[in-house]
Amino acid sequence: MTTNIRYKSRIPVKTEDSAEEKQYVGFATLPNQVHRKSVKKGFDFTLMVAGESGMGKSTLVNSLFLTDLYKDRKLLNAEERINQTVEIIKHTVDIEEKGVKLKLTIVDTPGFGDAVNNNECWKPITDYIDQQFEQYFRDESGLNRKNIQDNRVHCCLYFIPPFGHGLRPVDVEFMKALHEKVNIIPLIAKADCLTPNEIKKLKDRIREEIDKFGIKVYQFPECDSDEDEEFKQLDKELKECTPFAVIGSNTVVEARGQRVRGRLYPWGIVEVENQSHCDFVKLRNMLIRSHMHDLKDVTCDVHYENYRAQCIQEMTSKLAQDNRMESPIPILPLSTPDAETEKLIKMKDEELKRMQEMLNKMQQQMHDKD
Amino acid sequence: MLSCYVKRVKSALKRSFEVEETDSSTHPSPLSRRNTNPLRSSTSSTSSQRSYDLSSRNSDYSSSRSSPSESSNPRSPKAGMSRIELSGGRNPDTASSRRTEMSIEVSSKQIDNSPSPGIARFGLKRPEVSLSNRSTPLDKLSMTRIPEPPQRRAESTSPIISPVEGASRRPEMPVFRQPEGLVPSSAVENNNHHLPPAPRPEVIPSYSSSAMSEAVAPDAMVSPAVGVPYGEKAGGPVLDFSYVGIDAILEQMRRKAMKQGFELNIMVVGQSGLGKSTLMNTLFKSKVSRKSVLATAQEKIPKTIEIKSISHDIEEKGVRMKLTVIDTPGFGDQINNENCWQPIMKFINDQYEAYLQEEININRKKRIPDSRVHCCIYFIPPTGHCLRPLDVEFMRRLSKVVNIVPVIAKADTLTLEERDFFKKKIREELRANGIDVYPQKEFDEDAEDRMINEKIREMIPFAVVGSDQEYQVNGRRLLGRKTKWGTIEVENIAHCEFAYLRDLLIRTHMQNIKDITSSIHYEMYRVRRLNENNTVVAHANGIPEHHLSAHEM
Repeated sequence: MTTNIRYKSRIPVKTEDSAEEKQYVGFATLPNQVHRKSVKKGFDFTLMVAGESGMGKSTLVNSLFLTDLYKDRKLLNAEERINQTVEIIKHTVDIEEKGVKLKLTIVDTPGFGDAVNNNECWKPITDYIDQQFEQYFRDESGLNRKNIQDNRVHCCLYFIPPFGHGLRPVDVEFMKALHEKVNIIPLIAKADCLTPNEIKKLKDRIREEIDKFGIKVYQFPECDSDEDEEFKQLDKELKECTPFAVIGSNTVVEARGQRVRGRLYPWGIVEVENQSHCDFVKLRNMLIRSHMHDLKDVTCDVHYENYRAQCIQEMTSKLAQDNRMESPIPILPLSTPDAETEKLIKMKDEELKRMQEMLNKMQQQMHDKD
Repeated sequence: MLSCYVKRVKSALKRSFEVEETDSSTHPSPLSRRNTNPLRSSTSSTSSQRSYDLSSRNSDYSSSRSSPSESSNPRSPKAGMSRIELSGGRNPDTASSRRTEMSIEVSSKQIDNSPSPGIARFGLKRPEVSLSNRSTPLDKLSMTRIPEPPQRRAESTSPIISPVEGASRRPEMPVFRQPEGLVPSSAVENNNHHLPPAPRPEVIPSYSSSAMSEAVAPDAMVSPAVGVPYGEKAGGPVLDFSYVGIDAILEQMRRKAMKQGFELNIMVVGQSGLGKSTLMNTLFKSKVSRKSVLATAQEKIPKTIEIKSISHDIEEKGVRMKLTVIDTPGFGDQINNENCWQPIMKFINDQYEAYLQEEININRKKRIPDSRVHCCIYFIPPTGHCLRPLDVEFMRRLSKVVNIVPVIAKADTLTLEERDFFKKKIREELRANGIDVYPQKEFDEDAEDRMINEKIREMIPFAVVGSDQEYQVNGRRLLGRKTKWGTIEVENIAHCEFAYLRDLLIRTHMQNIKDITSSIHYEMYRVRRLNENNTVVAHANGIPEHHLSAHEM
């Protein structure tokens, strides 16, 4: 009895069309199930903002998520900045919208690029990202994998100052150091100091230089061929617009009879959400409304896997050097010297070795912890 | 006909930059016609010398301003103040260092084609010199012709004036007509040819009426008060007996200065892309920047700091100036910017050294070519928070050897509140670090200097926007930047403070800047150098020890 009811409640059954009912299996509801489960679980997203001070990073983050994450921030003055090193500061906020919960973490990098000598100023940032990967790697390889907390950085917004003529040396170095570890989205900050012509020139220049230096910024995924035209058009526009020229503001001003978020100047009002003024709307849509999940996927599938492979390779090469003679797993003598089976066996051996080493490492770590 | 007289008059007059104020706001039509003349910009090779006639551009700007030069200009209170001083009976025995400036300003105020202000100023000028009242200029005019002593004075001074004024015409023609034989100038004679037939007493009303109508004797329209300091010192009949004519030296100095021409060396320092070249072009309304001369296809950040110096000869209303713009591409652009100020300090000291070598020569030139950096404009990026460590380090070191004028570059990215906050923060930090930017507090000479300079000090750093493109705004063509949300007018003080910077650098404080460079910064360098060489220094000058040690780099 109960099974019947359960069965009935899951699948929308039309009692009339028994023929159809026979053909209909019902896994089309899977997305709904996933949806329900995810909504219950909630999402998390980690966003890093990097750039010189005074580029409007905090304002932009506040504008994007309509929160005020930096209420109690104290800005250092020039004297204090002379001895400042790059710090990593995390702000976490829980946002809920229409029943969907998002745990948003913003990783801030004050002090980046501010000193007189900015050699290796990106090192603390790369170290932080590696740390998060390492922690996730350990958690994943651990014994209790139920509640892994994902602190990996899913996206890094890099603020390029609009005052220059393109990328500066520090920009190039930073992006090259980070492009294999995190999704980089370059932005042109404070775009309200540029005329439309200048914006276009700057964007072209930056795109050129990104190609020239071989920097792998985050690429939007290709549209599926079965998407509708409108979506494809939007997608194309989005791709041509990078890097986005953004303006941030959380103050509301009166413009054209409406209350809008913007900046009030003696010569006019810049509206943050006006597409002809800046690319803020495009960035928000891309970051939050359409590509957030893709960013997370790319982080998991590409960057994290890169890190993991690198890590394991390092471990194996290190251990191979140390334990060249002894191997924990005895190599079985091969009866038939068949090339293919030999290869297979070798592969399996290596895998086994690796797993063994990992286990050893885990045990060691657990020992150390205790 | 009227307009072409105006044009001739304008081109013939020798003036400094400040003249636009007085340019006829009452004659918009000739000015607007001139506006359409494209700026003569011949293509140049590197560092070749070029003349740019700035008069057309200048009158362009005067038309957009309607404030008469006498009233205090709200735009630049300091400038307005000094103008009032001049017209308001300033004592001739105040600081002599003002003299050169004053002479230029005096003459610059004279261009006035509108009749009544001209007469009024005419009347005003005289009290300044001869302590007469300002009530009845016409009476004074008539009076001057009659008594003998003023005429004699007029005579004595006329030979000096007439060669100077050359082709210009002056309303004092009637005055100089009296001692007709003594006036050699052909121009004066030309004018006299108009007027001789008329009997003497009748000239006066005709002069005044001509000035009023500007039709009868168009030649007489020219600067009424140019000759004032010397011609019409004869104020009222009673006061003329005590007049000696010492102040005629102003005119002599002015003439000499005009003949010699001026030199100005400006250095621009700042990160790449902050609008340095554009600002230079905007300041001098001609293509004086490095980029206009050495056109590069794309801006490349040089690996090391270079010092590029480009000279131009520009001329405005007969005043010639050799302007040298020293650019520093590569400053602050690298990842490691330590010691990026060293090439710049070396350059500045090299210029001082060159001058010193010339000076201590046995056979030295009459006029040593001055390549010392008079002013260094430092561009602060508009982050809106505070100064960066690089800015502090640079300014701290360089404020001791050169006059630094900090400006906030690309200020159209800051709203007014942000701008005020940023400026306040910068001023605080400059104070906290002991950085003394121009105008330096310690070099204020007297109370009124201090007053003017305090006003400036409250406004630095100026938030500037530069542009060399013109747009149509409200029917006028203005320099500006056009964005989707509005057009930023460069010369509008409600938008940005470019006008204040230009006034400071060019119209009012240029001579002061040069004086401070030569009499203070250069002297400090010289003393240090000569002390180093253990040569006997003629004047100890009581320079305190800490000044000397402060220059140890």
